[in-house]
Amino acid sequence: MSNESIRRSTLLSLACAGALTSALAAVPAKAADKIYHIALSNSYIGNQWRVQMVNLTKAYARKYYDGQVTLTVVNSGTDVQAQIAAIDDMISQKVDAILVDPASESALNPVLEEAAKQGIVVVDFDHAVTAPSAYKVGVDFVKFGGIMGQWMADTLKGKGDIIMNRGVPGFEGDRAEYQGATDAFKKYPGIHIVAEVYGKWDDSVSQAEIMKVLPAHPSIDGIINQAGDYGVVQAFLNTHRTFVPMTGEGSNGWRLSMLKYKDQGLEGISVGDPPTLGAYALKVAVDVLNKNPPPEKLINVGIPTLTTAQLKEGVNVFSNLPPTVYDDIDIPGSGLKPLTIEDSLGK
Amino acid sequence: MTNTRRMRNSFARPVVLAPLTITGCTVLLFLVGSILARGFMAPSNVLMLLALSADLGIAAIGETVVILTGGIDLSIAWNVTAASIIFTGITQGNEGHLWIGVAAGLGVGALAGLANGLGIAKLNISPIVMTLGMNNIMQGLTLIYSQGTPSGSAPASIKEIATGWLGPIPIIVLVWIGLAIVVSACLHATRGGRYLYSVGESPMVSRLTGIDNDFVLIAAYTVSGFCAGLTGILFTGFSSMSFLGMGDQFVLPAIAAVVLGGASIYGGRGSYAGTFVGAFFLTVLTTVLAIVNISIGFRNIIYGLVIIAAVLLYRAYTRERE
Amino acid sequence: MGPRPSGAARQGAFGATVTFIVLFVVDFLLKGGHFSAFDLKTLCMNALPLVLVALGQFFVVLTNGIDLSLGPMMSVSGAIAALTFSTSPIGAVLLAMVAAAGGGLANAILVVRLRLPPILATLATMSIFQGVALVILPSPGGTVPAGLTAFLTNGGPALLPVPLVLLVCAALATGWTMTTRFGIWLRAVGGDEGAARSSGVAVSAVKFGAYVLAALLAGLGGLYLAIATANGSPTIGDSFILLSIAAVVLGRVAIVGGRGSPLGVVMGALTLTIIGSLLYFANLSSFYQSLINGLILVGVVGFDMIRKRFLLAVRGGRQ
Repeated sequence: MSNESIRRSTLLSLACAGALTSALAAVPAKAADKIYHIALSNSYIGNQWRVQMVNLTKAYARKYYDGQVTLTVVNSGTDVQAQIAAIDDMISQKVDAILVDPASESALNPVLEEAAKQGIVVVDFDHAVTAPSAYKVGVDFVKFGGIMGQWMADTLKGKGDIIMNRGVPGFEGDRAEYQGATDAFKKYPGIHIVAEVYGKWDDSVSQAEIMKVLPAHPSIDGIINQAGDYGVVQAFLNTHRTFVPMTGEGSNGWRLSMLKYKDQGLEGISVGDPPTLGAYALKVAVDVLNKNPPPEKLINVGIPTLTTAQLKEGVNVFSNLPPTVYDDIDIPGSGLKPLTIEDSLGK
Repeated sequence: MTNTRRMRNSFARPVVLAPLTITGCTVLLFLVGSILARGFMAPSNVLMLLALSADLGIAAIGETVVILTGGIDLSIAWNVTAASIIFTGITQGNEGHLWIGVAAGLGVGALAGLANGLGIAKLNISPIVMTLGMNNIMQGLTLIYSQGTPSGSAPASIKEIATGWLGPIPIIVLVWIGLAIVVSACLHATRGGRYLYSVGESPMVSRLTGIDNDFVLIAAYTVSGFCAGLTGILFTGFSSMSFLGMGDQFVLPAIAAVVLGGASIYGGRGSYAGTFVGAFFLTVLTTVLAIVNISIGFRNIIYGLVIIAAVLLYRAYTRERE
Repeated sequence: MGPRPSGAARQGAFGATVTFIVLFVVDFLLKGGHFSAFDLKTLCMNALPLVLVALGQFFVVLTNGIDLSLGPMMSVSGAIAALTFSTSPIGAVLLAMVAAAGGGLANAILVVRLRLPPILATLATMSIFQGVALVILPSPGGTVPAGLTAFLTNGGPALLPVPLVLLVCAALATGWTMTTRFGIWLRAVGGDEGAARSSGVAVSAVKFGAYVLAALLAGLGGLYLAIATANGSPTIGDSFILLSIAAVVLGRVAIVGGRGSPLGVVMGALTLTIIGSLLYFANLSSFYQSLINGLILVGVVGFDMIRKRFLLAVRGGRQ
């Protein structure tokens, strides 16, 4: 492994040096011809989805916009103020377009409006900001939660006690998914939410939180996981409880578990949120710059939803990849040129 | 100064009373819990909650040692994550590379701790900034090493230690108790332990008595990094994998556990027994709050109030009059 | 307290200022030698909330304390303001400030009256304030009058934008506070509480003042953040919990001993703000950004310490 890691890090530093020089070289060229300078403002980089998102966006620029686009990526962490500052820097640099995966769905509105006012194309993705001039690419999280809720109600035949494993408190995404699920339950008075835990979209936090509440609920019929699904499977394994129907996100670990434990009674559904959204946002930005904008500013992408029977090794689940990886790469109907799971891993 | 000196003279009392009071509060929480859910006080549930506290408790060993010197370690988050990702990267889930993986994980943690110690002792950098900076550095190094995608999984033996049972008792609880005994013995019955307290109590006095303060500080931070590494490895077993950001949840609770256990944030006072019950108390508290069906806002409020109440309780015994 | 602390404080502020200027120049060069009125305005605007909360943290740190609840306090005041602005803007500001003062008072009672260790007391109130923010505003929302946002972020002439004026006012007001009897007593308490008490300083009152003032400044920071971002968020203050402490330390304020100056703190906050800009303009690969961020943080303070030690050695002085 050490050889492998040395090779990787050498490659990486070479790639990095290459990126630096090419970026420097690109600046004078920009004046000569229409190389678009596009900046990606990411917030937190410390999770798998964001890493794959950044990789896919870079891969798309490299594969399909070679010589047309210079892409700069900046990660400003969970601090909203730092992301605002980063976007201000992009405005100051007069980039052609800004792609933004926001740390907050609302706090960036003024700075994004400012960017638009200065003639910069703004494409927001992942979490929808409310700034009117921004293009928005992403899944509708209310619908996302609704799919989970509806599936649970159908699976339980409209009757049962369930646990809600929610996200990070105070975030719009958590509120929206929760609302979607509970709206779906309104038609089913037999469904009761007996406990709400906050797994913070994190596997090990979800695992511990579920282990804490399970003993208090000896007979539970289902669990809605916004994410953290793989951790919840571990919680059931650790406590030797029989599986109940549960929902999950598009992570490889969850999909592998759906297959592995289906004979032990694990019924599940995987509702995906493709990390390809960044690449999609890039495409939208270039289209707008090329005077070929999409008809609507709000682009709701389809939500890949898979039952256990629909999982196919090598297509939407990969036994040779780590459990943390998000498997959904294609966004049907996006018109994106092909990207692979390897692209998302920076290979 | 007079004030701190007076505190110091009576320092033995909070060290004993704090853990006792927190233990009492934990029992109270169990009573509340058993009203909310039948079987909450069942031995199997108590043991499971102990098991769920173990990783926090082990991370808090390092925090205890560092706080005893009057410092703080905010780099636990990415030290834990780095150790875990290196561990799974090397072992790839195989038993064959287990020991290399363990050594690498512990080594990475210890090295980060050593760097913290050197910066703090030799360059006089404030522990807050040094360890906050180190946290970012470790995040960067981890991302570079893993290319953002941690690989591998936990070998079965580590999974067994983290989640298995030995008869009626979770193995991780035995590991934690064993570590607690060793750590307590080191703190209270060895020269090194005495040096730690001495440096924390008064660096000047400790220097005058011939203690190499710098060495003690460097050692303390290295131990803290080592413990973060150990936590990372054990936590890999719990999660059965490694992932980015997995250590974030330990930082503030580890500090809270240490201080709840009666340690002074200014150094020189505290015990690992205190931290042990502090970590357990926090886990039981969050469990009770997870069972109560109230909104998350009110859960946070109650969490804060209960901590205040618990500390006030032992303050009531140890109040010093001016 | 005589010339000793203020002399040391001035020295600290000098180091912090030099650090900021050096990083600013590097950033300026990386940008291709460009600094516009827009850059000036946004630098001040983006640093202002951190400056305010860090100045608050400064008062607490001067008393040998620490306040982990200031970040969530920002969320609370911002949430209250965003929810009440549409009813009455003045009422919203007042209500937010009253809530902040109340929070500060709670901290002061816990630390000064009930003698809880500051880190533990404020760790508890941190959770309480986070909870309060979530109860008031379960997810981001509320409104801010557009005119107010425009004026406080975009107002003023190009070379004297409103955010700069506010920043300078905050620094001057804190600087002035430090010259009042309260300020002098504050340093005295931080330097040697016992000695301060025996020379007739009302130690408890001074500490009360420090915690309340800190919460008020955090409240102002949260208010500005809500106005600048045009709404409220129950979690927006969380990242300021550690940042406010880092800014104080980068401002060369001694965590123990009552030394440091508001100017240093402002420079510390500006330094943290400019680091982000540096990372962007250096065009680093994603994975290297946090690494470099950490190295700068450690390097800046480490270098300063080496420089100080070197100077001491040259002068033959001793610490």
